[in-house]
Formats: sequence, structure tokens, C-alpha cells
Amino acid sequence: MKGQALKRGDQVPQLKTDSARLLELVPMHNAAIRIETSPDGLVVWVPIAQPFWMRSLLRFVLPFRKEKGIALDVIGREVFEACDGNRNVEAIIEEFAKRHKIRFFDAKQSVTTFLRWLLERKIIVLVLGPMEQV
Amino acid sequence: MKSVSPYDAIEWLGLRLEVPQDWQIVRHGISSLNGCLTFTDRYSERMNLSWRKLDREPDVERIVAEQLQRDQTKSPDLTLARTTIPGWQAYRAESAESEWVRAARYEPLTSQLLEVWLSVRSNQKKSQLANERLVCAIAGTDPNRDTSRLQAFDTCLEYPRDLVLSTTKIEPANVTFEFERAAVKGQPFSRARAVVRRMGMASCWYRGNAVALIAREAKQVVYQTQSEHWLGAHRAMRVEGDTTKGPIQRWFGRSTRSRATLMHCEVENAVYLITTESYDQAPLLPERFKFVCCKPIGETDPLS
Repeated sequence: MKGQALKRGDQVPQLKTDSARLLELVPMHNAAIRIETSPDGLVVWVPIAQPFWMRSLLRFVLPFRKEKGIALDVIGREVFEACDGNRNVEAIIEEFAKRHKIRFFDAKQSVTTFLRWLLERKIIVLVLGPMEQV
Repeated sequence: MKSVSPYDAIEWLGLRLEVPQDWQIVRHGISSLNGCLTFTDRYSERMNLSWRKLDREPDVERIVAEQLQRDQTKSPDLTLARTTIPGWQAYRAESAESEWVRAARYEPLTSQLLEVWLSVRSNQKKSQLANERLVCAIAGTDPNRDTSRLQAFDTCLEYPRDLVLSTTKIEPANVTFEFERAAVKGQPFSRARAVVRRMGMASCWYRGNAVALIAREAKQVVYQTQSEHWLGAHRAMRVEGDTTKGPIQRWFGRSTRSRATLMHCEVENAVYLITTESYDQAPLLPERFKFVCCKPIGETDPLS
């Protein structure tokens, strides 16, 4: 997807965020994360952005961590692994619902909440189809 | 679970209807006097069924004509025309963006005025018959049945008629219905309460220890007896105990007895839990509730 830099005073494009549009989004792993697997689940290591003062001499005095680890349980791992960039949110929800024998709508609520949680922690990114401006 | 029919049967507070399987209830009323059920598909609102208890049969034709007039005044760009749905007074509205049907009728079995709003997808214009079928299928159930039936949110349950649905809690794969029995005049100890819960994705809740799960759900109860029995094709755990109350309440015989039955259905990957709380003078047993599980979604009448 090709972006275009906005200048001061340009109108910021608004994205359609209705339910149908959300289901079309394709989640994929953030390329910067590191994954560690264990029998109990999975640990995702997300790099921490370091401001200039962290990169200065202070880093020799204080051992700032460079990444933070987030452990996922079995169900979390299942959804995380489904975010492979090949399936959209709708397909992930459908698969989840089928596997756990629950309704699409129950699965939708659980999966989208979890995807939002992953998104806030910068573990995944959501890729849009053709950008639509309102 | 493989579906048998593309429609799901819904039974709610004495009303019965059928909706496509990919529809979901997003709003629901719990009073039979006045309330509504709103359904959506994956993308938008599709149907709204509202009911109102009336003392006598109203002039439905006039109600619909007045509603049509109001809709026309409110949105002059709508094209409104009366349409025929057997047993219903109805009209159809069309505009550039949407198309919908509004219909009403009086249900003598439940003494309720039923009003339906049904959205028609523009790409489904040919399926007018299907929409008509949805409206026609809405009916009241026999109020003289021995038990009441609730069929919604993946749960199909028969419960004693003297109980009234008082609270619902609908969460993903976790549905709770609370029923209450009011005290009969002159018999203060006939009051009772029951909680029915269906927990989907069973492995998240249950790892084979039924007593532990029951104890976790009802912390204020000391369970003294436990027994295993069969509920249909499933093994169920039944426990019974006293609700912990203060010494004064116990002294006046006001402590209640709590009974719980837990059942795990592997086919549905769900755990069912029934908890009742009643006085010994008029006990309410969990056995009076009947679940229908292992049913393929979409089977129209699994209890028959």
C-alpha cells in the first residue's frame, strides 16, 4: 500500500470503521517481534522504542530493557498464529468458532477483543484492502 | 455441529419464531408485558420484534395505517405501499438506500400486540417469500403448557411455569439466566430462585472437577452431599447444601437450601450448571429444569 505524506492543513483521510470493514482487515505479525515457544504457550518479545536519553550514557548506568515479553496461553496462541497475513479477520473468527463449537458472534466478540489487545501492544498490525476515503 | 435447517428456532417469553442461522439477538427484553428482540446479521440490523400486552384486541389495521402515515411524514423520500402477509397487517418501504417491511398483528394466545420491522437487503429482492416466511413464523405458544420453554443464545431449556425470568447476562460463550418464583400469598417460604448457566468453550472453565466448579460459582453455600447421575446421555454431578446465613435467620428457619447440578456436554463443548435456592417447605429441584443439548444448530423443534 502506497502512502502519501500529509502537509499542514491537509484534511486527514477518514477510514470507514464499520463492522463489515473490520471483518475485511487482514492481521499480520509485526516484523520486529521475536517469538519463543514453550510447551505451555508462547512468549512474544516486542522491542521497546528507546528515546534519546535512554540511548545516551545513562544506558551504561541503568540497564534498560530493550524488549518486553508477553506470554500467550493456548487460546491466545491459536489466534496469534492465525494472524499470518493470509486470512482476514472474518476467516479467523469463522475458524475459531468452528474449532470451539461456538457461534460466529460469540467468537467475533472474543477474537476482536483479543486482536485489539494484540494491536495495542504492537504485536500485530492490521492491513487494509484498498483504502477508502469518506 | 452440522446444521440441519438454515433456520434457528427461537422461543422467548411465550413467543416462537424462526430466524436464519447467521442472525444474532443483540437486544432482548425480559418482560412479557412489553419488550423487544432485535436481530442482526454479520453486518447490520435485520429484524426487530416488539410486543405489548393488551387487555383487549386492538384495531391493528388502524395502528398500521397510523404508523404508515407517521413514516411517510418523517421520511418523504420513502415509497410506502401496503403488502400482503397472511395474518398480518403490513406495508413495505423503499428508498434509494434501504428497503424494509413493517407488520403487526394481535396474538390472542398471549394477548399481545406484535410488531415487526424487517430489513430487506437490496440484493435479496427475490427472496421476498423468505422474508414473508420469517414474519409468518412468529406466533405465540400455548400458555397452558406444563412448562415454559426458552430457546435462545444456544440454550434450549424447559423450566417450571411458576418461574419468571428475572435477569439475563449474555457474554461470549457464557450465558446466565436467572429465574424467580414469587411467594404465594400466605406462604412466605414458597419463594425460590434458580440460576441456569451455559458455559461454552468448556475447557476454559472445566477440567473434570465438577464439585470445584460448583463451589467456585456459589461461594456462600456449604455443600454437604454429592452424587453422580445421568442426565440423558451425560453424566451429571448433583450437590446439595445449606446457604450460609446468620444464626438469627437459622433460628427462625429462614436458611435456604441450595442445590446444584452440573453437566458437561462434549458434543457441544459446553458445561451446563443449574443452581436453585429454596426453602425446605417448598423445594425447587434442579431436576425440574430440562436441557436439550447435543442438538444440531438449526433443528427446528428439538424437544418434540
